[in-house]
Amino acid sequence: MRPQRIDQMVPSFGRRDAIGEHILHLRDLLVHLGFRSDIWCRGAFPEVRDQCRLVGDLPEGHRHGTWWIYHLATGSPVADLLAGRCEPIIVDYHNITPASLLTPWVPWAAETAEEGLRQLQRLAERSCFAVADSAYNERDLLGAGYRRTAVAPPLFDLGADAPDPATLARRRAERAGGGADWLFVGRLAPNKAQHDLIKALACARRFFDPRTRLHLVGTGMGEQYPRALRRFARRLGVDDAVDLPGAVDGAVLAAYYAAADVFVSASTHEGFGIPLVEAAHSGVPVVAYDAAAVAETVGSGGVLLADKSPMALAVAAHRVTTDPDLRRYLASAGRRRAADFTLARGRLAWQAALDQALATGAEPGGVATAVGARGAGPGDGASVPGARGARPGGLGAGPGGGGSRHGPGDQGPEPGGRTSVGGGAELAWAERGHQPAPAGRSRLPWAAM
Amino acid sequence: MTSQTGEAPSGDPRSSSGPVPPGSQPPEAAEVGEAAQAAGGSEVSGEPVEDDQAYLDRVRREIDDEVRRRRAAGDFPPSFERKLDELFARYTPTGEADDYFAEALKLADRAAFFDIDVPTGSRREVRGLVKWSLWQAEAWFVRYIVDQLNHFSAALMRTVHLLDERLADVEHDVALLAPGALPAEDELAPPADPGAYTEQVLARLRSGPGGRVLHGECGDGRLVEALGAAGVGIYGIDPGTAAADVAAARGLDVRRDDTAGHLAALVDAVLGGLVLSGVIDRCAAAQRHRLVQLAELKLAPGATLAVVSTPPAAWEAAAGPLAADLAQGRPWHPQTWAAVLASTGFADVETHADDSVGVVLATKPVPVR
Repeated sequence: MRPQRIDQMVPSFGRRDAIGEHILHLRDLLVHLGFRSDIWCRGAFPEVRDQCRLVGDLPEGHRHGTWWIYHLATGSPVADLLAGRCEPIIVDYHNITPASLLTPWVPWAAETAEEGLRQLQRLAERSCFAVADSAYNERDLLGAGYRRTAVAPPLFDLGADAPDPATLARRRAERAGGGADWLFVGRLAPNKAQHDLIKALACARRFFDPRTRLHLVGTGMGEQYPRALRRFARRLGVDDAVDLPGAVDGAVLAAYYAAADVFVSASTHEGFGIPLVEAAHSGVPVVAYDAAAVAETVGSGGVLLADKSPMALAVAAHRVTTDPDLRRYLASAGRRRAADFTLARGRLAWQAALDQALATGAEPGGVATAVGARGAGPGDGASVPGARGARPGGLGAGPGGGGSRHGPGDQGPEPGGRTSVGGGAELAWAERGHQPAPAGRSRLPWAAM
Repeated sequence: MTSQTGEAPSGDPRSSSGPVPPGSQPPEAAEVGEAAQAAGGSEVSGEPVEDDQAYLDRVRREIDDEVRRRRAAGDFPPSFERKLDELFARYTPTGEADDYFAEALKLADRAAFFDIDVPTGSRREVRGLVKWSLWQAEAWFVRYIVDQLNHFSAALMRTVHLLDERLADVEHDVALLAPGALPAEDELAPPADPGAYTEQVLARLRSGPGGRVLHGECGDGRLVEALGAAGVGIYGIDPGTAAADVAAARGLDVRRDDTAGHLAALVDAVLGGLVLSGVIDRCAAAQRHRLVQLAELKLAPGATLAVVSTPPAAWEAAAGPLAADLAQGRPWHPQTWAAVLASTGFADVETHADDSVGVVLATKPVPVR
């Protein structure tokens, strides 16, 4: 039976991170398709507080005619809360960074990542369908035991912001003296491997052009890794060429894209990689280490490297910035590739995924007939743990409540609330000594995807 | 976003012959090329046009070739990349993940090899010839030195790997010694109640030098209450059982702490007396010895140590089979405590015991001047 309402649940909610923007676009789509739809979260940033409801206000009983979409990118008590309810669940899986990549640098994030993987497995039996951002992510779903899955990219609006004139002017003034500008956008985190980009920069400045600069846009995950990057750059004598602006808003980010010669990625783990698409859309040639979902996202729109040694990255970036034919090709091919991820196409993909989910039926494990859904055929039914119906106690608090060790927005690799900042003081970051960034620097673009 | 200038690679792919890349035509031609591609066409202006993937594969191969060529020519010395890795490793946290030691070991392995193949290539032929000639002239000497260095570093790394293996064995054995899932603390037997022997304990404490008396793992605090009522300056600690909370709520000076940690934090020879109970019945033998050593250290000369233990049979009956089997240790008989305290140097060892409790009293000797 077609549900009247499809609500979304996310551990923490902010407008200006990848998952937050995706959730808002998805809500618009759900409403457009005739469903009623609310966004529920455990903690929300001020700018979206009026657009969501806190799980503490969630009524305990079964809400007939309601389905859930749960956005899973890290471990959170709300996953357990949702698993204890009776309504059908669609898991929207945004990828979880492997804990091994985080443990030495951000142990608490590694803990929540491991909890997220455990919850991914627990929800496999409890959910009726799952959607992955990429085929790479879908493999995680299948490995965790999901039977009905589909792939639909995250919803985001390319080119929504015009470049900030002041930033653009400043960046152009910096370029007046010559030298190429390399750009990478993403959270400063060990799995993003910004340290490898600094190594490559050192090679490029020594062997090609001493005026080469590197811009690393994004907030830090924890404090150790960003500090190590700064010290490393200083030790190599390239600190004046490494720009770490932190989180920036959409207009400033657009200016960074507009003034970049090449987008370079050495990231070892990407579940999708929205900055790769943004760079391609902006006509910035992409050079990326071929890992995880990077190849799937970039397609033929960029140069993918099997080797991410500093020399290989430096040679590739130098080749791209000095070969006009290649630049022209990559700008054109990148834009073609980015066109595959427009908001309109994303909405179509999501509409198809929702059609599959609804055709699959409400039973956990996807027992009913699935139209075009991947996975096992009908009849491979599972038990219905939702019949338990009990709601775990103590999880329904608002920001900072609920007795969790980690407050909302402080949940490791989950971008909702990690990346977007701007006056979120009431969130429980203070538990671990995190300070919200100043207002106005309110966007870390697409950190965890 | 103009392209940047810089030293062109020796094998500048701009000069490489080959098919025209799909996007390399002039703008008007590019439109035609894209349209042709979309239509499945493969030729523009008489030149073959590669498909996207073939072109990108060729670019990637050319990049790989250039890296190899420059490395072989000595432009990209391996030592430079190695130095970058080592420098960043200095800023990397260590010791927080098991596999991090393995990574550090791999880094050390790579750094322990001295390369004897000196790069002699050069973009200028004459310079390359000079380099090669110098190398030929000095090779016998350099090789002699580097061979010895490599032998030394190989032996050193071999030793490190052997130590790693031995350490792994030790860690494995220690892990086997560790107990499995212990029952919750509150499910263990409560500390023995020395009620019947409170007078004896009080008498020994009063004979001491005075000063604060500590009851380690005091449970519900009934001994603290009794001794306090008798005028002894006493406080208790407990690792957080519900009983201790009750004691604190009753106004007794009971704090949450574990016995060994609390003792270790005290100034030496500060205690006028010490009562140990609870943990001493279930901790491992090494921990008991550690507690006795700490007691000897923290007691003032002439002060009394009272060990309040539960006889093994009574303890097992109270704890139940699960807690008894999974506890790190089993209670000692009072006679065993007496022997251990005597051998540690305590004097005037006195034992009181019945079926439910054993109390061993001992005094830290006053040094003879």
